[in-house]
Amino acid sequence: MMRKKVLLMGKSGGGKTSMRSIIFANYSAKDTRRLGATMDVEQSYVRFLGNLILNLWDCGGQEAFMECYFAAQKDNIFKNVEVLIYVFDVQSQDVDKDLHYYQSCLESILQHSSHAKIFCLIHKMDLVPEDLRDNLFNERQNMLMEISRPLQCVCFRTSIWDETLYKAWSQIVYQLVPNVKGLEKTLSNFADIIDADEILLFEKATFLVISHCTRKPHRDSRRFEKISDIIKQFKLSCSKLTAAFQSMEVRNSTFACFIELLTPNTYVMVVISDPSISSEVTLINIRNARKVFEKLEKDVSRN
Amino acid sequence: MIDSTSTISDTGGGQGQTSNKNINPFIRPRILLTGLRRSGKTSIQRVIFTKMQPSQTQFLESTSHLTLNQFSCGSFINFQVQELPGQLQIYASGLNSGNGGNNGQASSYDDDSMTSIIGGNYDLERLLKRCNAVVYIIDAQDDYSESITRLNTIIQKGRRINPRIRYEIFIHKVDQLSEETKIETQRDIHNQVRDRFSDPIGGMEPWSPISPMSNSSSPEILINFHLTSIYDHSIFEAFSKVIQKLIPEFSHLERLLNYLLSTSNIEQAFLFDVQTKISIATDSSPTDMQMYELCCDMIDLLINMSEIYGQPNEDGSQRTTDDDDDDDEDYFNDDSDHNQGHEWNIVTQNEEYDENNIQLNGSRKSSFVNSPLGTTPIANHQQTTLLETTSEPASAVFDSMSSSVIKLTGGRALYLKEINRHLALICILREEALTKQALIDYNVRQLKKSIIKLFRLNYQVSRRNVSSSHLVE
Repeated sequence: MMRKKVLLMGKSGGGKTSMRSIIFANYSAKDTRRLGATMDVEQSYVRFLGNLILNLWDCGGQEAFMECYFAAQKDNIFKNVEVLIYVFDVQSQDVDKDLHYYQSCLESILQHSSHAKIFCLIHKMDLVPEDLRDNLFNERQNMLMEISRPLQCVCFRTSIWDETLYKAWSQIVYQLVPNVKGLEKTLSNFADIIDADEILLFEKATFLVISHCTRKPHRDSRRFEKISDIIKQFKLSCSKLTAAFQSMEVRNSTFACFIELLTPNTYVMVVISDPSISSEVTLINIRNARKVFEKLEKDVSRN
Repeated sequence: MIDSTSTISDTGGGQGQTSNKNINPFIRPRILLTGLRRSGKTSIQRVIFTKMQPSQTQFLESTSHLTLNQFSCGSFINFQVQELPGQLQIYASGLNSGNGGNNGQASSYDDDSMTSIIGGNYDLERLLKRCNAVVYIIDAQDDYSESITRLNTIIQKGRRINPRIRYEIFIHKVDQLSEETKIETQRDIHNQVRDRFSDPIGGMEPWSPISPMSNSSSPEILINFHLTSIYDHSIFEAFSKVIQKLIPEFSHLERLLNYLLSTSNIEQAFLFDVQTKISIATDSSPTDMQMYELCCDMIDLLINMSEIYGQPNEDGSQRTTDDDDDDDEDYFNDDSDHNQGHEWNIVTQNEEYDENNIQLNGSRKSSFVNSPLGTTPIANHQQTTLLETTSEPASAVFDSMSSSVIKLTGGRALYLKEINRHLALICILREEALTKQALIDYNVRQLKKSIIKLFRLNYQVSRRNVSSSHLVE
């Protein structure tokens, strides 16, 4: 078992708990309205890929708590951090104060877990008019990268109302997946064998894309997050019927796409554009690939 | 593409454009959509027919003109929605015609609504005479007494003019109400409407020309109530029910679906219009809202995934995999060629429309030819009458090979198959039944043929009748 500590910080009301609930607890964006403010630190353990456990520290962002994090609780909070996710509310009125807390946070990180990876999410992007988003994001990104030195940070623009949230979190968890390279290699082998256009690997619970192999160029670079979003939406509507999504096949005259359970912790999506390959053939191929991927997963957890 | 030309045509007629475009011989059920101002009429249409996000509807401006929307999605949904603006007073002109409709009163509304109403032909009697159903929207979050008064006026009138109208009352914007309040509101509105009815004087306005005598002999009035909201599927479900009652083939479709159920070990079957997610027919077993929602979401899933991976190939090497349903489009072509002379009751109506609309139609048509995906409805606020047409194929990615199978836990599965380019069949079945998927595929293919045949038959019948019969009388 591998445990990785993920810190989720940012100003109160910035949307930390909302995004956490959407990604890990199957909330719909609408449901997050019900969430109240987070008091102190809310810890949760999320089983991710079976052998990996994410220990999520959702740190309430009210000033009193913040001050406390950098003083009395400092050791406790900033020790052994693998990933720091800092959420900025794009509409925040007091940017200086936000940056001040961010800097204090970085100092503590540097002190206690200097190897941690840092992600900054410029959140609630949906509230910014579309034509201004690019500029605003670039501006903030440059500023944050400047401030973060000597540490490196990666910035994302996010909103719980579109697929950008999935993009950011996919990239974040990608950093945490053990043996990513091995996974990618196996995936590309598999794609060659079955002549697939594209294969995606999803984490089962979150439907975040953790690995992919693309053999045929695709015009839409945002498709992964879109697919996560689409499937997640459908899973939500299944849950209303107290049933859970199990597998799917969708086709038209130009493509066939299959989503099937691959290992106990992952789903695979196979896209094939040759309509002469019948569904059954592909499904059997996926079934056969299971053994390989299961072995791979076991090897990783043993090491 | 045939569908599109046909819808456009019926408003372009009578102005010299008739010659080769009036190829739509279908009886087109008409729905009059009305309600007080800000009750959500335009929002409903936008959400259902143009896929507007519900949250975006708050930015819609209020409608100030009578708008006419034509929908001929697929073979069965072929109807007209007339949206009567809420802020206009219902004006009983008493004169049904001869108002001299089209002498450009584009800007006159603000100064004198009365005259412009007469001038603009917002003549309730005439609208009622021609419609098959009235969808009346009541804002449940507002004080609805005024709304009910107006509804009663409409029903009073309708009963005299056109007793066969169905009244579908949408108690709208209920998303913010608790379950209890919803039921309470529905009961309250229901009672108020019924009460005024039994009392012939009650619902009458001083200016109403209705004589008390006309009430006594009227047949029973068909009124249905629906609780709706654009923020969930209830509006789609309610509209589906409205449409189902207006589709002449409904009982046949239901029988076909029942037959499919019994032969293929299927639990439930829905026939959906893909674009609007209106279910035009179901089997006769009771359906629950949640299943309906799941089917809607399945369509979303199919279309969204197809849009990512299933776009027609850019290099032109599109595979022509159309198999069994080539014919269903072709015959349409053949027939339409020698059908030019046909013009059903639309003709009379054409005279009312602004000349500008002809151009509108013309340009609409060419845009169709150029891009089959031009979904933006025409909206020219300069005109007194707005015309919008939605008749393009549901989606470029929804084609004859579109299908989907989704398995759920608990042994349930969903099965979707294309019927024609607008319609999809969705079946709910046990996973065990899918072990004989080939059999289901075969049966569905037969069903598809029957549905297309039914469509064709209806087409021929309505063609035959078209010259002699009128829709309303």
